[in-house]
Amino acid sequence: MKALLEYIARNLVDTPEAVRIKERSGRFTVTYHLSVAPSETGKVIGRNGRVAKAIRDLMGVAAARQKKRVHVDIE
Amino acid sequence: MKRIEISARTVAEAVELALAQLGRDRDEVAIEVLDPGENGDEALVRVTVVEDEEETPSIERVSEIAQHILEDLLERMDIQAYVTAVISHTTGPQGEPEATITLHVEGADEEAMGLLIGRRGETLRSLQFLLNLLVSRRIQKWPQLVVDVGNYRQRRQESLESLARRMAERVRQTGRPIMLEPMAAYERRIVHLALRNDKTIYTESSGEGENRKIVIYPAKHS
Repeated sequence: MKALLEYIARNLVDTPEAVRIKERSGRFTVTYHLSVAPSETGKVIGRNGRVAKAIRDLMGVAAARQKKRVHVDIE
Repeated sequence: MKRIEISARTVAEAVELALAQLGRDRDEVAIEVLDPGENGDEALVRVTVVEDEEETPSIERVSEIAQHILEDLLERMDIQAYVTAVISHTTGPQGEPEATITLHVEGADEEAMGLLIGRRGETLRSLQFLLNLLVSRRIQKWPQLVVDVGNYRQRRQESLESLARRMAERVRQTGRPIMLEPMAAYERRIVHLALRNDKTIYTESSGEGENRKIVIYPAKHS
């Protein structure tokens, strides 16, 4: 799951080295905290949060494959 | 892609010559020193104009990039599937040639394919949007890729068309308008097009955003 988030985030920004992902695992839910360079937050959120929604949808698929739920916070 | 190799007495001189010849500034090019020109040899540099790189990649190249990225995404979603890219040539509204890339995803695991499609195709739309976005960052334009999973789009189109015809029939019989469920823009387009040639009824969209839906009205009597 983390690999998917990492792949998407790194390929959406101009400074992939600034991408940070924190993971917190619960029994049924995994929470990811994604942060990118402050000037590039817009690129992973998108207009009306469209990019963020797409990221969450795909992360939902990856989570469902492991019978889990996922929560993605974007800073 | 614009690229030249030039030799001169020193590296700096060769770069300067290359830039003059290309008519570019230093920040528009990538410079590779092939031979630093020590020990009395001539320096050799290769100068490549960066912004020209992949500025207008061929449709085959775009399709390759898209397939690769989609496979990367699927692998990281833990989904085993085959991706086939199909380039179809059609004509646009003004008769100009248009090429569309459709990426077909097929897999044996029905449950996984269902997850990829999501409720009412919502996850499939997200996948298609994100793929377009990722590819656009590589080719500097919006590639208009279509992603389909297990022929979902075609089946959905057929069921929307038959729904449209059934509802039009009911409007014709009762003389009363019927409002359909909210649909995404491209789904509404399918319904409008399916009923475009039916002169006994007409269609309009009403409502905003997520709630926009089609209403089928009986034709006005003249």
